[in-house]
Amino acid sequence: MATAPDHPSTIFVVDDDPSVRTALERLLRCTGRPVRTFASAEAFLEQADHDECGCLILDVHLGQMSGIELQAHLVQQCSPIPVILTSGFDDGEAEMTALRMGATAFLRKPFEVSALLAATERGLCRTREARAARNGIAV
Amino acid sequence: LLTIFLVVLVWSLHARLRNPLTRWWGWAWSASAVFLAVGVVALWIPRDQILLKSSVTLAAVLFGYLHLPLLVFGAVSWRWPAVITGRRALAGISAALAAGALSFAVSRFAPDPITGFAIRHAPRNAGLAICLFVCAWVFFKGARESRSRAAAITGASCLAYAFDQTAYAVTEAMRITGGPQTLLGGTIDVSLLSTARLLAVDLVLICGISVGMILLLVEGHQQAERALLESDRRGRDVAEENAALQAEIRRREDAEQAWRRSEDKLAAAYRSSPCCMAMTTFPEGRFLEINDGFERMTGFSREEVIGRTSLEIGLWADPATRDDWVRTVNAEGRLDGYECVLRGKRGEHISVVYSAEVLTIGGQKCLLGASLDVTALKQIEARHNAILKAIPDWIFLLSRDGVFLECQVRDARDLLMPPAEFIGRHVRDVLPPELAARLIDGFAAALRADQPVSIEYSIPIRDEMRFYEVRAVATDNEQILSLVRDITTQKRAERHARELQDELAHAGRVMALGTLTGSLAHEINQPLTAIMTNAHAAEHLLSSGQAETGEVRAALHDIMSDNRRIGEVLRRLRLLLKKDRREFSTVDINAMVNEVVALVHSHLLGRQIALDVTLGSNLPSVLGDRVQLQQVVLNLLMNATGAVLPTDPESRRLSLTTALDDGQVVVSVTDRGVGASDEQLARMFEPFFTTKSDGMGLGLAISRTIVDAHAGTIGARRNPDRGLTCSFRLPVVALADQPESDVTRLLEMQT
Repeated sequence: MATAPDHPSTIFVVDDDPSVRTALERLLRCTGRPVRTFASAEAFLEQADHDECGCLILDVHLGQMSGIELQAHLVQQCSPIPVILTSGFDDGEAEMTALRMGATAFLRKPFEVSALLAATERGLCRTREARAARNGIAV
Repeated sequence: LLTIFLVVLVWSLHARLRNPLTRWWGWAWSASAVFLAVGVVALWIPRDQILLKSSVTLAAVLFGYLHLPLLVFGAVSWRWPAVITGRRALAGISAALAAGALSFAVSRFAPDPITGFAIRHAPRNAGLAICLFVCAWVFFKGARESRSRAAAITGASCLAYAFDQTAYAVTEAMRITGGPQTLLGGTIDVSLLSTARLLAVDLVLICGISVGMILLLVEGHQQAERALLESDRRGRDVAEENAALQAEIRRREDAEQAWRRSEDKLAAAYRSSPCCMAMTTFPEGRFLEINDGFERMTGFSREEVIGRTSLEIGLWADPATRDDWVRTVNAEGRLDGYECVLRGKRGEHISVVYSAEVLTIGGQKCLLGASLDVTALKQIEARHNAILKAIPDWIFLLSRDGVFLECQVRDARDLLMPPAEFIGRHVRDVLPPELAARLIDGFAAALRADQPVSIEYSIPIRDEMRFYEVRAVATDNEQILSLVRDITTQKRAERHARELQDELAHAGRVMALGTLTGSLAHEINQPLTAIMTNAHAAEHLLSSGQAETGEVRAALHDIMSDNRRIGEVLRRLRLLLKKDRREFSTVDINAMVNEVVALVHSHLLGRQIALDVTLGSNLPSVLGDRVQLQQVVLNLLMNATGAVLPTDPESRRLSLTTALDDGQVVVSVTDRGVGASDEQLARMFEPFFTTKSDGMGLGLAISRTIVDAHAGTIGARRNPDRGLTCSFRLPVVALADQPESDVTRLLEMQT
């Protein structure tokens, strides 16, 4: 599937658990989406080209900087990237924070794959709309 | 000729004739020889020298008569040596001489010299004949009794000579009386008798007698020699006996001297003996003499005591005792180790052991007694008895090779068998072989080490397993004192306590895992998520028809591996939640610690706490219960987690180290958290002590119980900069160096 350069549709995954990371990459790739994975928030910040990012699947509990902190960082930078948060813990506080900061979804592991895919679609859709609006304004 | 013969005979035998048995013969022969010689001389003297002839004739007659008793003396004294006494011999000799003198006097009135000769000689011949008969009888009797051939010959010669002399006497008598010159109807001419009396006959007969007598002498000599030898032997025996007797006498003399010397010593000993000694009249008990020991023991001085009775001075603690004492002396004649209580001058009671002998001095019955002050011994004995009574243990006294000698048991029914059935028997024959062997080993060790040896054992008594502790110690006289204590109740309490501890530990684990539940869910949710995702991916790949076999296989592989991951988490969890009895085995500390680290990984992750694990290399194994040790590590980590949570994320760093230190394995957890006050530090391991609002304060207390049960130590100290370090130490078991039995014993000891 060809991807238009002005339609960033790459899905970024940040999870410290390698097996979860690999599995998500495999799933999303076979649904036809380009995928990039990172083991920590810091790696994402250093290496990711945010313009490419269509959607971010972010684990809450990471080594140093947590998922919530990264989300807050992106919000602070007015990043348009839609964020889907996942957590293996039963932490409602993090969910509240994430949703308040405008997360596309907060998924508790183990989540339904369909829910993830739906959220991803929603995220990509929002990115597309946001780009279109920006381009439109620009045009 | 006869004279010469007799002189030669006497001379040659004079040495033999000194013998008291035969000396009379010597005299007889001598008298005979002198008679014959003097008679011949008298015949030669011419008739005109009347006086000389008469004198010589008288001498011849006297010697002729003298000869008779001497012959008889000789014969009798040969046979019965004691018969011829000096007086009898004198009487016999006097009678013979008187007869000779009479016959000589009568012969002076004879009408012619021939008749005179006959008058002088007829009585002599007759007497000689009688004497010879007597001699013959004596010799024959002797010959028959002593089977002496010499005596028989002598007797026969004497008999023959006697007949010869008889015939001679008859001839002489006929000549004197002038009677018939023939006898037996003219067949025998009297003068023929005279002529028949030839000198040769006399000679032969006398020779016969002499030879017989010589043979007798020889026999006597032989007997004498034998007697001499015998007496020699006896003499030697007597000499030996004598020497022995003299030695005995000397010994007795020495002993007597020594006795005299020792008597002085005895007196000195009596005075200065540490024993209390006294001599009293009996039965009044009036003091005659006392020694210094008496003064020392009773406090009474000599002046206060001598002449008074024991009752007067109030020496008896209980005067009634004295009656029993007197009865005993009367019954047995002495006292031996009589125990009684006296009263000293100051009124103090003195326990004594008293021994006494009854003596009689100057008709007065006395008692010499000595008593030993055993008051101190009695007190010690009483104290020992009280101690022994107070000890609840069974006390056995055994010989050094293991034979029961005595026992003291409060209630003999508790024993395996009544004392009568094992006293005097060997441990081996009384107790089960394995137990007996252990006890004997223990006794040997006690004898060797000279300090108490403790042995624990169990034995079924009346269908109930009971536990005992033996403490064996060697006594001074190399016996074994064995104190046996029934520790069944204690053992049961210990077991009960252990069970409670185990239950508490389990409860602690359940609680600790409860706080971990969220983290453990994370630990499972992660792989579950991966599995679900991979499964969807695979399904998608397959249904979309763009199946890449490699990718599907990779997804399935990941699913399996995540599945195992979940299984591993659950296994750890189940292990910790298991409610088992404590079970000791060798534990690899590092592996055990890693398991706990895996378990708390999510917990720390969820709280943004970093954990540095530093494991010592080549750590030896410890002996312990793996699950309970994990519980301790878990508790320490949870405690540290609680300490760092309130701090900022940069400080949320724990370190866990294992190391070998001074022969012990040390596990430490260091935090850089809030630290603790002195009071908190001191009470950290007490039950229900907590600084957290959500904790019960049991985790560390349970940890301490567990470490104690592992013969280890647990503690906490402040770090130099901040936070605490909690650590526990466990003894190392060098399994390779120890025989199996020792490990088993160690296990028994620790459980």
